[in-house]
Amino acid sequence: MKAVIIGNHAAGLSAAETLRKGDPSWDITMISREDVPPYSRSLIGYIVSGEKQVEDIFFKAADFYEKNSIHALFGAEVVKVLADEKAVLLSNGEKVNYDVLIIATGGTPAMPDIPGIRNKGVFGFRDLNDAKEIIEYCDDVDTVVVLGGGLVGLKAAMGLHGRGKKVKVVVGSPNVLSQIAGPLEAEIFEEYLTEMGMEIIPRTSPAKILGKKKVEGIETTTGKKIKCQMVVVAKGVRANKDIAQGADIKTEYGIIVDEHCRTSVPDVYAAGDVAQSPDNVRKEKWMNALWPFAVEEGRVAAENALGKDTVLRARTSMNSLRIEDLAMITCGLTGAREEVEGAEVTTVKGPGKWDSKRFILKDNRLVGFALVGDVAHAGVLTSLITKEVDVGKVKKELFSGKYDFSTMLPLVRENKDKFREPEYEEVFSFF
Amino acid sequence: MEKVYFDSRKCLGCHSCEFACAVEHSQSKDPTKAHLEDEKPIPRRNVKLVDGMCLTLACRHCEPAPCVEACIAGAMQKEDGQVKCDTDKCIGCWMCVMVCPFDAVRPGKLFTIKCDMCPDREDSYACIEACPTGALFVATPEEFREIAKRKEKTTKVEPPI
Repeated sequence: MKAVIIGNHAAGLSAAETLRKGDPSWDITMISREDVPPYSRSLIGYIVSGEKQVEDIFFKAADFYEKNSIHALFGAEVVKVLADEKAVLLSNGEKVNYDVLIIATGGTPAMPDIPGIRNKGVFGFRDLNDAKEIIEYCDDVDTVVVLGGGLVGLKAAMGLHGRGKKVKVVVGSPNVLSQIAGPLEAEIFEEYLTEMGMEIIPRTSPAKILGKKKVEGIETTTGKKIKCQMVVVAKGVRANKDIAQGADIKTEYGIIVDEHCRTSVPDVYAAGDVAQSPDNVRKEKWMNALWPFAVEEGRVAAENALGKDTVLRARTSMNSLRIEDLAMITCGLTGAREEVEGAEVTTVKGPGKWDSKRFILKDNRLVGFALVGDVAHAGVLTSLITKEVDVGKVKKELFSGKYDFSTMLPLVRENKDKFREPEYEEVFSFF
Repeated sequence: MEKVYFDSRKCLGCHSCEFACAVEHSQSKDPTKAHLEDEKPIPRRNVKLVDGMCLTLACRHCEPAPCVEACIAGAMQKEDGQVKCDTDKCIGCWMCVMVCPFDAVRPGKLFTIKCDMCPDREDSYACIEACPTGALFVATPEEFREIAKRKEKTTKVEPPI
C-alpha cells in the first residue's frame, strides 16, 4: 500500500509515525513546501527572542525520515488532488500516486488586505522562515506593532520583547485573547504585559501600513498614526484547503472530516489545522487548530487508513498559555463573544493578585472554564467538559476552587459508560 | 513494559508512597534532609480519601497518552510503554496539564512534574518499596488484567519487623 502525506508538521509527522509503527511494509511519501527537519512551530517565539536555537526546537530526531523509511519530497508543492486517478499533482507537473492520502497542509497567516501590507518589514508569524526573516530584519528596528492579540500575537510579542524591542499590541477587540478568554482573564494578562513594558492598544484596526518601501508605521481606521519599523501580523490563520477544490472534497472553513478523520472522498483523510473536525461541546464541526488535536488527528487518520476503527476523543477548544510566570488554561465556551444562554457562571478571584477561576455551567454540565495563575488540576476539568457528565454533585468543590482527581471520582464511578478508557478501569478495579 | 498498579482494598492511606516519592526526587534522597532543601521536592504520587476508600494515584502511562500528543516541545515521550518528560526540552507550557484526565501531570516551577519511574534506581520503585501493606505492586498490563479478573490479593503482607 502506498500512503501520501501532504504536510510535515504535527499532524503529518504523527500520521507517518503511526503508519510506520502499524505496518512496516507500507510505502510512505511525505510532501512539504518546507525543507527542514521536524521542528515545533509553536516554539518559534523562543527563536525570535534568542532563548533557543533551531536545533533546540526539533521535536523528532533529524534522521526521522531515514529511520522510518519515509520518502521525503521536500521543497515540493501539491497543487491539486486528482481523486479519480488517486494521485496528487505537484507544481512541477509531476504526479504522485496514492492508495491513501492524508492531507495535513496546515494553515497560512491571514493577511489583511490593506495598503502597504507588502512593505518590507511586514511579517506573518507561523513558521521557522518567518522567525528567521524577523531576526534578520530586527537590527534597525526599535518598535514593533503586533496586529492581533491572540495566542500567536502574544507569542510574537513575547519573542520580540525578549529581543529587546518595544512592542505595541494592536487589537481590534476590546481585549486581548478574545477568542479563548473573557474580559476578566484578558485584563489580568493586559496588566501583566503592561507591567512588562508592552503597550496594549485595544479597539483599534489598521487602515494602512505607512512607509514607501519599508514599514514606518501604521495608520488606524480612525486616522491615528503609530510609529514602528516592523509589523507582525497575527490576525488568525486560514486553512490551506485549496488543493481540495476540484476533487469534490467537502470544505467549509477547512476540510470537513468525521470522527475517523475521513473526508467526503474515500481513502482521503485530513488532519491538523486544515481539518474542520467534530466539537462535542459546540455540537458542530469546528476549526480547533490546536497542536494536541493535530497530533491526534494524524494518528487517527493513519490508524483508520491501516484498517483499524479508531475515533477521535470527545473534544472542544482548549488552550494553554504561559507568559513568564503567569499561566492560563481555558477550555470550552470561554471566549469573549461566546455567550451561553441560561448559563450559570461562577468566578473565584485570588488568593494571589493574578489568580482567577471562572466556571461556566449549563444544565449542570461544565461547558467551559478559564483558570489564570494556578492552573493545576486543569485536566480534570477538561475531562468533565468533554465527557459531558452532570457535575451537580461536585459543584461546591468546583466553585470553591478545591478540586482534583479525587473530587471527580464519584462522577467517574457513576458514569462508567462515559469513562471507558482502560486506565480508569485500572484505577477502579479493586474498589 | 511494566507499570505501578494498586489494590485499593489494601491501601490504608498512610501516605508512605507519597513521602517516599518526594524523597526519591530530592537532591539528598535522605528522608531526614529532603524537607530542608531549598526547593522542596514534590511527590509525583498523591494519596486521597474518597468515599471511605483510599486512592493513591500517579501517571497511568495511558495508551495513547494525551499528554504526549499535547506536548508542543517534544519533551513528553513514550518509550517502551512508559511516559517520560525530558525536562531539558520541557518549556513549561502546561499543555500536558490541560489534558491529563488523571491529574497526574502537574505544573512545577519550570517544567512538568510527573512520575518518571524512578530513573535513579535500578530495579525498584520508591513508592512500592515504601508501601507497608503491599497495596502498590508492579505488573505488565496483561498481568494486571489477570490479577484484576481474579480479584485476588496481590502480595502477601509481611509482618513488620
